[in-house]
Amino acid sequence: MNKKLLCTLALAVLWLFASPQRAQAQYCSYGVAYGVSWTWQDNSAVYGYSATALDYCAGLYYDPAVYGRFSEGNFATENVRLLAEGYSEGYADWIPAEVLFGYGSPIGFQYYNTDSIHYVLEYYQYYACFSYCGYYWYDPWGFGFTSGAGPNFSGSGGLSYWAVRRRRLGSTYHTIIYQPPDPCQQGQQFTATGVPCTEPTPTPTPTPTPSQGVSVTYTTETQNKGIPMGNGTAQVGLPNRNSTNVVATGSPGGGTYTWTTSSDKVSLSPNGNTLTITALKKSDQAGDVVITLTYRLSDGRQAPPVQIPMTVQQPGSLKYVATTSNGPLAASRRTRRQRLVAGWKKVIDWQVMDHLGQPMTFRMPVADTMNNKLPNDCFLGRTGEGTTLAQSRGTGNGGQWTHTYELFSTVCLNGGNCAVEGYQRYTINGLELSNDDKDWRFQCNGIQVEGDGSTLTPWTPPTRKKVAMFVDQVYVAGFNDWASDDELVTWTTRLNNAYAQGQAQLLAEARALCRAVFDSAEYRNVSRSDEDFIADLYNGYLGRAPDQDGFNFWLSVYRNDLAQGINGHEHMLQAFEQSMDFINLVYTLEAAPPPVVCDPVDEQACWNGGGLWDSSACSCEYPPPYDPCYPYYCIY
Amino acid sequence: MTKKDRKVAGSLFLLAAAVLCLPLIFAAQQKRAKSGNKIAADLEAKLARKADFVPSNKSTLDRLIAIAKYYEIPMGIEWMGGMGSEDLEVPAAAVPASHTVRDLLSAIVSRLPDYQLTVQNGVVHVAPPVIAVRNDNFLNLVIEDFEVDNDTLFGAEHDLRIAIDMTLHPKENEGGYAGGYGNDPEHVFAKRRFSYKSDDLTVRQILDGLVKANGNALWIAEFDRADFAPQAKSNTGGPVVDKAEESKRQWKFVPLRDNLVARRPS
Repeated sequence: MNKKLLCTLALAVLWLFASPQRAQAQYCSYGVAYGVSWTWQDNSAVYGYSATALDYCAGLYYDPAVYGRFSEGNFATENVRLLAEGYSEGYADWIPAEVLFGYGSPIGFQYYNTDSIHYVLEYYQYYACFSYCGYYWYDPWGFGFTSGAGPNFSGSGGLSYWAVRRRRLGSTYHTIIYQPPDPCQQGQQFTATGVPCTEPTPTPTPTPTPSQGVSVTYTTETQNKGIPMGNGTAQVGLPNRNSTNVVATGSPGGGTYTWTTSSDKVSLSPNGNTLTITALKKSDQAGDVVITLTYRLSDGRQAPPVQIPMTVQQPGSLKYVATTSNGPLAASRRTRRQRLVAGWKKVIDWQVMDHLGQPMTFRMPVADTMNNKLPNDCFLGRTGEGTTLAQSRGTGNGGQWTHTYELFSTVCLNGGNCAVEGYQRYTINGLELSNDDKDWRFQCNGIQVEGDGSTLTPWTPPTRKKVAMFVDQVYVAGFNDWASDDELVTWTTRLNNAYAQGQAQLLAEARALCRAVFDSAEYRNVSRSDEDFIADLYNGYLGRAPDQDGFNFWLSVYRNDLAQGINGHEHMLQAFEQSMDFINLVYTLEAAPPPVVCDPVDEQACWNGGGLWDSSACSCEYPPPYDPCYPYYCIY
Repeated sequence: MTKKDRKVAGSLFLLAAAVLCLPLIFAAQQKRAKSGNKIAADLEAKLARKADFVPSNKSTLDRLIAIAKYYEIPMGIEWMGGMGSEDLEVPAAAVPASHTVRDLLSAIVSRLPDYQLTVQNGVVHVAPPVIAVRNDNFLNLVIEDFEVDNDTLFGAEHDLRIAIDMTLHPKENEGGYAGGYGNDPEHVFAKRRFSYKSDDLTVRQILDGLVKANGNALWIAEFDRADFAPQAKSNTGGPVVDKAEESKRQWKFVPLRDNLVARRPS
């Protein structure tokens, strides 16, 4: 009996220890461990510190541990000398594992290192479940937690025991060079061992700098330390400028350069002694982007930090520099079939200025548009050539731009004169300078561009106006476009016929013309504001921009009409066609035949068919048949 | 003097005039031909040089420009850009190592589908012939007269744009023109002035002429395939210039040298 009992008990114990199941606390998916090594100097002693800590989640399941060593010497060049070592364990996220070292006899300018291996202690539960095993279980310190994947064991109905395993997380290290207290006396430049004094006192001149003979200088791309700001990346032509480089030179060489800034207006891309600064926002004032440059040698000496005040420059305007050419253009034909023309030519140098009024001395892409006001008594079209981005033109490296302005017109022949006004709008570095439109006045006897400091007596065109020009005046005001060939011929003929019959007939036809435009469905379908409508009537009926008082008056009348449900549109047309300004203008019209035009359908058909249209003869010329090598000599 | 005598005298006069004038006419033609031959010979000499420089640029267009710049070859390039362009990257190994500049150019161009290398009138042309010969290619537009009188290449380029506008839209420009153009005052094109005159030449021929007259430039005209796609007939008449049409007429000059130093010996 006793033997049986003993045998059973022995088997039970054997079973318990020989076939237990193992379970580990579930992993915390977001648990984090922190490891640190730190070395520092305090007067004439050096210290080291190793530590491992866990955050809350990791601390639920693990304990931190650390093994630290404190050594003297340069790892890279010699076998270091171990000064101290130690191991420590912490508890959960409450108590980090820490080891602290101290050494009171450091050598000047020697390396001191702390290196640490960081661990966590993982716990396992070995258990044997006889009957009922609970859901919750506990760590060795009595803290319980659920176990989704672990054993359903609470301690009753079975036996268990705990085991622990140390798992390495990684290692860290930190090194300093011990700086001995400065043994220099007043006026001493070097210590007795030849080491430069860290803070030499100012005695006889020249005063030494705190840099211990280390210095750093820099050069910027432009004299005013600008950083160009562009609008994105250019799609065609010359690329926009968005960055600049600063190049530093340290003495003696071989050190490392550090570039920093606290400004949010730029981003820095250092590459050794060269820093690329990219503009993000324009400066609020000159020099508000401060770049700090430090230069440090490998022995720990460093130059005094250098502050570089820079300015993010956004193109803002063009400032007049000089007129390099200014004179008349002799009579000539631009093409054989074109009429003889003469005119004026002026060449002006401009300087690109930033939004703060400082010159931008970078090479930047430039485009500009030349916009003529219509109608004009030079009989010119709407636009000049200007410069497109695709032409890849840019300012010079100094930010200067030369522009040639020219006018040639048939009116300028034989001492004639005419004037055309307009404006020039620039796009520089991807930014449209709409606040700096250059208004101009081109005349046969001179050119004046806003800001060029020149004077030009405005030419006053004769009061008489040819009927064809009047037709264009009305169409341009109403549709922002010239009359088509058919419209021009039709209305010029009608006005000429009326002119021959007398003023009353001429006035009636002129009114009919204006109504054909401003009463048309095409005009009504364009949503024009109240202000635009009144301005259109001024331009169409009177051939001029509205004066402020008149504009305000008619605008209020029109709005009042609309408010009262009156047909304001009709009221305004009647008002303008009965105004004395309009009637006087019509009475000064001069009969003139419309320009000879070809059939636009024929012309279009010619172009569609690949021909060359000769408008002087209203005929189409077709090139020779297809030849794969024409007009070249094929060498393949 | 009888009628017969007068006839004989007239014939003798014509014969004498012909004897006197013919040498002058031939001399003028020879002078012109000599000048053209010299330019062609210069170009042939450059193309026959050993290619000791192989550009490493990725883009084929950049490679062509780099070659033109290095060997100072007057060149006209008609390039298809935009959607579906074949900007193939020709691997450097594909270029023959010890051949002439012409071989080098040929090797690059032969990798471009549809493109052809031709030499004419002292200028190397790289272009897709199918596009180059099209009648709606503005480079084939004939300009009646074109003249540059002691002006820079920037001025000449501007004048050519106006000449094209006036040829395509004579009615709109019959009154005249007001506008202008701008440039970098330090640019090498702004440093040299020249004169040039042509009658009834195409825009392509004029560009060639300007490149040769300037002596330090190549020209590039970039097209989009969409420019040559069939389009619906426009029913909008009127004199306003079609901006889309203007955008199809883009070209630019590129300097062969960035400053006016002496030429590299060839």
